[in-house]
Amino acid sequence: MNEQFDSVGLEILWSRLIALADECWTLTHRAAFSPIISEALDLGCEIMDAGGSTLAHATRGIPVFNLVLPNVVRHLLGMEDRAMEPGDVWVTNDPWLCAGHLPDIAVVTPVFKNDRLVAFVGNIANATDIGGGLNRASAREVYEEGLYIPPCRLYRGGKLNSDVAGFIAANVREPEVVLADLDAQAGANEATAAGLLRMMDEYGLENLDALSRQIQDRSENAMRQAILAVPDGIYESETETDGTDEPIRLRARIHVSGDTLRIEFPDCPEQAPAGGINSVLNYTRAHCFYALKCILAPSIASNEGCYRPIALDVPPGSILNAKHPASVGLRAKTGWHVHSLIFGALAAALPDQVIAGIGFPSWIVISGKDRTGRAFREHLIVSGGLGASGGADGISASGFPSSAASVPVEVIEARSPVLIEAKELVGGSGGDGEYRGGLGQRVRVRALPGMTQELVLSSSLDRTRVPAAGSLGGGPGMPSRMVVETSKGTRDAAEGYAVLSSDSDTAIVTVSGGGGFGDPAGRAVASRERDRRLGYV
Amino acid sequence: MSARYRVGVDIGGTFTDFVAIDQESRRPHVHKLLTTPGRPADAVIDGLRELLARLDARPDTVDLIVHGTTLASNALIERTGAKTALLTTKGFRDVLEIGTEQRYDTYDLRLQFPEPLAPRDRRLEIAERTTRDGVILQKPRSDEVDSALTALSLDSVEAVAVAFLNSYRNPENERAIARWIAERWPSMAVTLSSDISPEIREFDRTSTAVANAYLQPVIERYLGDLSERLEEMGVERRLLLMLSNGGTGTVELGRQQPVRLLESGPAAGIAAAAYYARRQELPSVISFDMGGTTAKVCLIEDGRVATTSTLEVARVHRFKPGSGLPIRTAAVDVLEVGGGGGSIAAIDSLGLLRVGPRSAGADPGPACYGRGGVEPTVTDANLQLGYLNPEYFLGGRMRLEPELARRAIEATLDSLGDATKAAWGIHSIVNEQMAAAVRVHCAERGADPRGSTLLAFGGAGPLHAARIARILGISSVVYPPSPGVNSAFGFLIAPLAVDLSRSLPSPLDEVSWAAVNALYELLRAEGRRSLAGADLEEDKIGYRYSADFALSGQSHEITVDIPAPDFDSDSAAELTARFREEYQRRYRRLPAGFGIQVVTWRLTVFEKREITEMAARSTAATEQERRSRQVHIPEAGGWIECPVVARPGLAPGATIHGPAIVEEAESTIILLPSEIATVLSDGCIETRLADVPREGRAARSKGAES
Repeated sequence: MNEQFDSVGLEILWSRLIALADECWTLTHRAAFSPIISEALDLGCEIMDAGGSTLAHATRGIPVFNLVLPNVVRHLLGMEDRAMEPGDVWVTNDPWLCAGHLPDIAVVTPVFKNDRLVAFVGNIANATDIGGGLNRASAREVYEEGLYIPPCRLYRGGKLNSDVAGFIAANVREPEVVLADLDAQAGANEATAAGLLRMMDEYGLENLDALSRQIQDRSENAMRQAILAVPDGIYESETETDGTDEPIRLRARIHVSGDTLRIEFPDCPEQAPAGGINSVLNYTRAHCFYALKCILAPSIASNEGCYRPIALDVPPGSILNAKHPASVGLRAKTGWHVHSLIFGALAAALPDQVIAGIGFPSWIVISGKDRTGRAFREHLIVSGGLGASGGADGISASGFPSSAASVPVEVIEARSPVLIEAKELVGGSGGDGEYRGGLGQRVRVRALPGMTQELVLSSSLDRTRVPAAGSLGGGPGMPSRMVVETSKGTRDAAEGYAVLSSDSDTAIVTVSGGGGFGDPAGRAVASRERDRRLGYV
Repeated sequence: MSARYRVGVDIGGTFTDFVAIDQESRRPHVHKLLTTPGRPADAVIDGLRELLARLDARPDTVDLIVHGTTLASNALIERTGAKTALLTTKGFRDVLEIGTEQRYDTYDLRLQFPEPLAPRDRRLEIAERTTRDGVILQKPRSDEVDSALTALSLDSVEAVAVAFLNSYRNPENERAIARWIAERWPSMAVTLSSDISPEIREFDRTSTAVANAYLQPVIERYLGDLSERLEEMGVERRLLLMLSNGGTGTVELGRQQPVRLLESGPAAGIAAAAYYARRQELPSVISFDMGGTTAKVCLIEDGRVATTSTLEVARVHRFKPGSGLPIRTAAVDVLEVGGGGGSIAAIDSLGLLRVGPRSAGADPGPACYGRGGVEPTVTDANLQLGYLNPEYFLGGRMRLEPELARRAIEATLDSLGDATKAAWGIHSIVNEQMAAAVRVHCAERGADPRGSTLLAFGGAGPLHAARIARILGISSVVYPPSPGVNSAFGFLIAPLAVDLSRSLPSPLDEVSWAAVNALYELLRAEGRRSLAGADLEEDKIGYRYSADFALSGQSHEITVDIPAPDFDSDSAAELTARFREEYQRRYRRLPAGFGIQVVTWRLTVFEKREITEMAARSTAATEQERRSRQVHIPEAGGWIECPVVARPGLAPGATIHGPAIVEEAESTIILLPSEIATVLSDGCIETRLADVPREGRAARSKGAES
């Protein structure tokens, strides 16, 4: 095929690339060991050109993973020790390059055609454990949060680099599982690379540069058109987050001018000295891009071209652009809130596209030892309610902006000696409004009766102080809460961390509902009646 | 011969189709009439009467009726099932509504999910609990169950599903509820999750149980009505139902487990494809059925249709996985993609030519139908390129308007150049989309399309197959006869078959082989009971064994064929070898240091049936008028005067060299340059590329069948 692609040829190749990325995603999670990947689907897969620009990502991959992979590749290409050969597989979890905290590990495979580097296949998945302290809210520096893997070769010339594998194995709690999951990622990359080379052969492509350029350009143009449709102006908003000791105020100012958009974060607080709530720049940027894509151009194929018209100005050293060695383990507790800022700022201009405040998902990591002394770790994912929009109630129990699924209760129980006594929607947790916020959830967790070892629960519980706000007159959702019931009474576990020392201790975690949209007086009578009948309020 | 006819009946949305095969002459007779949605049995009975009258046959000449219906699928889509309640473990009332929590479209802030079949006020909690080991921590209390049942009866509920946590390990608490209901409320339709889907993962199991309960009264009424009226009519021979797994089952099975009837329509077409694959001893076949709005792809290896254990039905967005209701049941593993003759072509916001998934449907249909459609479709493109004969569409029952097609293409796609260039773009993109779908489907199953045979049918399949095969590196395509009635024909050749399974998770080296042998005894007996209504003799029953394995700690299993169970302590070694081979084929890497876990033991019980062969429709060549027309074949240089051959006049053994067009009433085959077509004795047309040698044809045998 000619190097100039017409709209037929381009569509054919582009669809093929997306299909290849989807195949990578399927192979990875089917072969994975940890339920955080195989059931919760906390992974993303992407095909990039030789310069690290995105060509296509897996349709159901985690959006933020897709958005940060090019950073990783560009860094590899700029390193002093950057020699790459067929059979090499790179690995890193550097939060400042990847997904903003240590558990998300990138596996990147360079693809060669006739000994020339033509592409990269990248794959980020959440490791079931990365070492470090269990109470992530107590970390002061990233050193306390687990193993930090600088970019290095997990495979060299097709052979496992046992030095690297050994380092990883020695620093995590479930070494066999963590290494096997990395293998699943590398195997899927390898299959995808083979498919990519077949495609290039079929169409007589020696490299992907021209194809990449055209794909990026098309997406860029489509995004520019979408921005042009937003009236020029300066849009501002502010929001509060739980912070560590007290709430933190974040502000955003969005400048829309013609077909470009720039986001500033005025008066952004300094990075937090402890608590893991710091967001690094690439994580903040990824969430800004993701939020804008959702409201401006949700249906166009996504790649970096989409984001060229968007500029970001985040003060270095601030909580949204934290510098090493800040603690970042719970970075979502700050980073996810840029969605609220962006939706809030653009609500007036794009009332039909935004949603009200989001009851964010909470990830509860349950750690302990079974009767045989084997250490176990389970990830109980509990999503909150999404904010309502101008036209529909918010979705209940929806994993936004993570896009991860939950791990079935029966799978957790089958693997480890825990008893989950409830996982249910919380009536009344959605904010009131013409459209009601989505409902949050409540779970009850304890040890299987007869277990004498303690259970440690460590969660990323957010919105315990500051609920999800309503939009355009809608009310706030119900906040989150974690308590522990024991024979001596009930105690608060506001940090999201609890140790259950007896099999009669029960942790009860309530995850927040979403904000309502529009004046509650405008809610249809039939909707209110239905809410009452079904116990949604 | 008194009982000489076997009849296939397919109730579709618009038509109820009949195919009767005369077992003496082996000739098929086709009949159709409008479906009667209010009382679907009406059209079945009326059509059967008309068909028998046409054949001048008495009702008692009917030996077998195989029936396929979309009633179950439609009841889920149109929400016309029973008023259904769910009894569930305290704390887990919202399992259906919470679902997976995953966002099937990551950028859509207003995702929609199907409403639960049992709304929240009909989901009642019972304080009870079973652990992961099957230990009962708490039994249901009679007073609580009594008050729940009273509440449901006051609400005039028609069906009840019971889905308790961990019931896949121990069904006792669910069974206790079933006994209570049977005592207090004998007429109530009850589905236990531990009966319908005894497998781990509460959302899938609950969803399956509720869907089954929801369908039971509807299917019960319909099948009761139909059986009664067939009996009145004097057709007292056996009635069988087409199942999701590509086999057929008894009426009793359909009444008890109506989820097994879901998506049985596509399964029938694939059963027919499998028949040709076996008959022609093709080791690897990709069944490709392309119709008006979608195309369906399925792998058939060694004559066996690939099956899966999960279906997703009633999707909010037809082509978005995750937007529907999961149903755990053995089903033909079909990939459905949004591309067919009616798929609409348009330029999207990126300036790319996109085809589908939006479809012009039957009304207004493609622009060339002249019914008011103005958007260009795949059919319009195929007409513009000269592939379709405007005078001979649907055998001449409909005239196509080339001028309307051209105008629609030019009006929408002027940026692509002239109408022919744009039409070629549409045609090529559809081919690529289909090839991509086939490729992903094969990759997910560890198969490679190269070296396979493409078996193409459906109204649009034969038009696109040759080029799709080229893209995929496939050198041989087979076109079965009468592609339009392939589904109804599938009913007649699908064997009785029921899939059974039991989860019994254990490390492979700790399996109690005596227990597995005993388990298989039970499953075989259960399978024989399921087929018993069909009066099968023991020597007509076959068994196929497989099991789901994973590396220890892994979530997803892979299904591997296993030998017939006469297991002993040496069996672990053989099963390990089979698993490792399949694992490496799929995932490329086998991580070291993990034991092997066996999770579920599976059994397919099937009827070893003499296959009814259809006679080729024409045994002697009829003199063909030499015909040709202008057709756009870029592989031959562009517009050429292309020979046109009428398929009905072709005798077995006839050969045709491409480029050529082969026409019949329901579809059109395009032969490319360097392709040679041969008519086979079963009426199929087989093509292969002149420059590619014929693949080895010996059927490989895998797995155990006895």
